[in-house]
Amino acid sequence: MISGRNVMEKAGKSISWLSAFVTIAACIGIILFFLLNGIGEINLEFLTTEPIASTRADVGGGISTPFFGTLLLTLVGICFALPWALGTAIYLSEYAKKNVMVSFFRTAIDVLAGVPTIVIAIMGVAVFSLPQLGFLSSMVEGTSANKAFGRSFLVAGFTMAMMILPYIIKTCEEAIKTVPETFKEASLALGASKWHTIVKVVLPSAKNGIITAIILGMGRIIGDTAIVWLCLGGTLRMTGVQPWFSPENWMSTVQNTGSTLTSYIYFMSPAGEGNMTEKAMGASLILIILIVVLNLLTDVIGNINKSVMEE
Amino acid sequence: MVMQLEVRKRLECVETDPVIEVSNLDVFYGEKQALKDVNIKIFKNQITAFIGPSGCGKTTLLRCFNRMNDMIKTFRMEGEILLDCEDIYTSDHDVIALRKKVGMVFQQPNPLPTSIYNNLSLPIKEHFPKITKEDLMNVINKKLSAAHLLSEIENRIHESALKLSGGQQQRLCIARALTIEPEVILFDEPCSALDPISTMKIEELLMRFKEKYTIIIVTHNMQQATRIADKVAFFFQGEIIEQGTADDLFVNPQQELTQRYVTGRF
Repeated sequence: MISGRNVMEKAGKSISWLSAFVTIAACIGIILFFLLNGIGEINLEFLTTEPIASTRADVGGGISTPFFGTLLLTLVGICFALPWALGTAIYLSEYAKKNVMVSFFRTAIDVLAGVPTIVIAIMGVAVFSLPQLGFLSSMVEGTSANKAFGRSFLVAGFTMAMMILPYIIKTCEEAIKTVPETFKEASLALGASKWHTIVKVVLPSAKNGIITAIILGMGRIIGDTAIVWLCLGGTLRMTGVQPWFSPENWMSTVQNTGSTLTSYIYFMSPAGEGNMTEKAMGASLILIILIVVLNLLTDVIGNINKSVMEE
Repeated sequence: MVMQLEVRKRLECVETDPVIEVSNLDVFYGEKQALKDVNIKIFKNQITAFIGPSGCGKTTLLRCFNRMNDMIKTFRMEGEILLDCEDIYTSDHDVIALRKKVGMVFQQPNPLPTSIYNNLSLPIKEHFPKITKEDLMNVINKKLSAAHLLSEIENRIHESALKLSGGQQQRLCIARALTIEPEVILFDEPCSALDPISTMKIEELLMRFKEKYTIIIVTHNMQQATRIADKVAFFFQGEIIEQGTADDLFVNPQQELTQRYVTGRF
């Protein structure tokens, strides 16, 4: 006998199953699409040659500079964001009292998380074009206007740090809060100062959570386009002193502009400014592989964390 | 001249007077009063046991002695606690120095999630920043052996402290408390999470420790108090109902409440 309740039961289960299935299918679909379309483009030459501005695919070069640009920008961004976010997280979880100031502070962090990256990017350009901050990029030459160029790996990294700050702060704060009170008590009762307890006991115990926060932040930097577009500049190549990769030129490289995989895709794809679909597909595949690897890393660290707790 | 007199007065005081003297202590958590008009003296090289039902204020008083209650935001106290004739609750009193003088072992063994070696070297390095590696190892071995743990873990000193059994973890925490060379050691129900054999080992340790340290222990276990304590204080609803030598309190209690508690009719 079919009762109304049974039908509802079955329908509910089917709808929720279908929703989950569509989500997974979409994820796998995206990966498969780029795998099928991009895999033909990927070879050692594509990975190791610099892109060349051309409308002909056969002389267009590869993705070496965008790929390293992505890595370099991620590194710079994390270097700015981590100490800043960790300091804030330590303040919020260990020192902040419950008052209006602190709740205002927390709201501000939430608001920052919701600000579109293009807005953060515009502000980045505005701030870093100030001549006083010219040392982070370069000065505009040949005009009477005393302005900084306001675009470089340092500028883009700092702006990226602004963008990922709320996420890293939140994840670090959660990680610090899960450190059992008994660990802190153990340390304080031994006559350790509060700061010493935080540095020697709390942070090492929260290590895995902090690493997860870093990986989440890396994922956001790798995937962002607006900040790259405005703060790193509309170029494909590294514009610092060549060869950009040699150690004595590193300062010049980070003070100058470059590209990342996301801006490369924009410049190559017909949907953006280019006419080389295959190259955009290949770069997209590499980008997706990077993101998948980062996500797997987060899972692995989560599992390590779990097994340590269970021990 | 005046200085000298003061120093001499303090020296005399330290020699004859109790290590800890609590007078007219009231403790509040927010509106709730946790301790009422507590007066007690703790003497050198004795084991003083705090007994009483749950929530009667034993642990609160214990945690006043090393100011661990400072971490609780709603904590407030009135009255005076003297350690070696010095008020430990004056605003300029060095809390860190106090906690080095008054060590603590907690109810749940709380080794840090790192190696046995690191658990012990952290406080030693904090205490003696310039210690050589060799001396550090010597101190660690000495303290582990004092806590009767060395022979059981000798080859595992660089392994995780979390792999030890509960009783071993607690003895590691005791060894860790010894590394700061305290005068007084506070034990907050140190055996409540342990099996009888581990409990016995810790009681043996306490009996030996009292030659060197002053010991205060909170316990729910009346037999334990009978076995090891020199002095006993019975707490009920935030007040000390009765205090005295263990013999007096258990054999010949003066108050009806104490009598009911020690005979288990509560």
